[in-house]
Amino acid sequence: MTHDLSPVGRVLRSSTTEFVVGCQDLARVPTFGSFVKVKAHDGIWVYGAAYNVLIDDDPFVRQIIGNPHIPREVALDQKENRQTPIEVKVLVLGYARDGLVYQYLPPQPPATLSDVYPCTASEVTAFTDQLSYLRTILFTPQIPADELLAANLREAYLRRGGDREFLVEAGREAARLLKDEYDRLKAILSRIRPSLFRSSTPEPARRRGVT
Amino acid sequence: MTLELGVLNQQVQTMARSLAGQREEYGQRLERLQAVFRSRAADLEGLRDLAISARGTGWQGAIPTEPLDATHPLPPCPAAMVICAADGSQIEVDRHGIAMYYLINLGSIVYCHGSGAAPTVRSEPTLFYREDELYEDGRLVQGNRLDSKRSVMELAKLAELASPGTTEPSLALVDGSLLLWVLEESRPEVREELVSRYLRQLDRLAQARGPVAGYLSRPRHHDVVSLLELAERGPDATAQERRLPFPPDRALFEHLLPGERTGLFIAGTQTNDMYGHHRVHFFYLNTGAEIARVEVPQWVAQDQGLMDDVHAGIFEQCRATGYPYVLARAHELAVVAGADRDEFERMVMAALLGQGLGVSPSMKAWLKELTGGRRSRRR
Repeated sequence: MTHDLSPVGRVLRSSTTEFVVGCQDLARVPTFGSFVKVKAHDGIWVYGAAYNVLIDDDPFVRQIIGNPHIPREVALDQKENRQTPIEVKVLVLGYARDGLVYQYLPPQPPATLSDVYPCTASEVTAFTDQLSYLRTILFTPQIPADELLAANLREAYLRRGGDREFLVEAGREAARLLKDEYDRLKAILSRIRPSLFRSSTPEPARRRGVT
Repeated sequence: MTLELGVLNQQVQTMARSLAGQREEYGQRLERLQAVFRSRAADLEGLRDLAISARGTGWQGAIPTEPLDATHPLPPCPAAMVICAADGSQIEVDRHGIAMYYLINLGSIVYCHGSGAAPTVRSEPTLFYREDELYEDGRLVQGNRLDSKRSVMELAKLAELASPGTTEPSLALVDGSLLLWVLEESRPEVREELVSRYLRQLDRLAQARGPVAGYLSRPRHHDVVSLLELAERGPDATAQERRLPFPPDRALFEHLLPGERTGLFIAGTQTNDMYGHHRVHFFYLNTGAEIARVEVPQWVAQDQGLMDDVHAGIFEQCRATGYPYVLARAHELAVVAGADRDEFERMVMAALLGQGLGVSPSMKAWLKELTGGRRSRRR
């Protein structure tokens, strides 16, 4: 899978548990659940999953939108040229240093204005070889945790080349974590059924006979 | 908090009462002016002769070129039209800052009406720091002088954008007056030089044959009101009358229907005498949102086709936002926001440090930083 690896935006503000990315181009905004990375202090790459995209309004847009007569040129100018403030919230899931992945919170958050990149397929694969980060997603309050986990697993499944074994293992991990919350588990599992994926999905790359 | 709101409250109340008191007087005055307007509406020649002879004695008011009550309906807007606008903002020289420089940021937009395509937009910053850029005529380029420099750059940008080869109707818009505001206290030759730089850019626009216009939202001009005062009381009384609250011209043209405009007047400012064939004419237009003033050079005023393009083009531009869209965008593209400014200043500091130069602000600027005072260098 080819990927544009130029930055998708820059850090607007950050904390240990999450950061907000400012983006200018809606076409390049990280999709819900996808993995991004940003360099922090001391050679650390902080990894996270995008979980909320906010396209803010401003008084100028409000003035225009209240008008029934919006010329096409004006609408296109607003969509294509104006630096509409697009904010993407990212939940921090772990970090990597010297090629090793750590699925717990990094010692320091990324600095303001740091470039944020989409993760490559091999980075996604390396990160998702462990599944401890599922706990972080599931038990972070005030985020759409179940939807985020499902979207993130679908993304990881595809980026790993349609790795069915991964999906099954992730489902088991979710079942362990949600052993007392059947309804939540059911909702998540129904959102990651392989049959949901398009028929163009690549054939499983690393099938190991697990069903 | 240093603003003593308790103390200020009393003054604010007094101001409000005073303004309310003037309101009644203003109403009476407006009624009287409207009566003069009606009685002299058709007397074009009489008013024109009166105005021209009074101008010889230093009076600054409108010279009518059409009857006062002349109105022009909205002409149809061409199906395709290229509309450009340019606007600038500046960061002034900070004598207490780490280095002497100023910055002009030009925003511009080319909007092809009827094309269905997104407009082309640009923001172009220029840094001025050389000795001959910082000082002109032995004086620091700041305030009014920097404003004129910016106006010249805005017009030069428009001249660059107005492509002479195009067959489509076009319109170039600037925010505010076409009459360059130069301080009276400047030496006459300095004033002339500033104005002639501006006129050279108008020459370029005239060669491109695309009309240029200045758009003024909520204009406070009273050129036409001065003319009515002159007609009623004669030249001697007007000086005394000036002490009273002066209604703006636009109050006389509230009767315009949306899309309608007044006839053309010649602007009364003395600077206009230096403009030659660019002599500034103006009219008032009901944009649907307000009565705005539009200024055009003489070569536009005397060409019915160009006038129709200005009239229809501006009205069309006001439809989406009640103010010409291209001007709103050009301003937005020019304005330097606080965060960008801070970033730029950090960039300057880093570059100077990189060259081994000292970068300390003056003690005054430093103390202001410590006490939370904000430097007022923004436009």
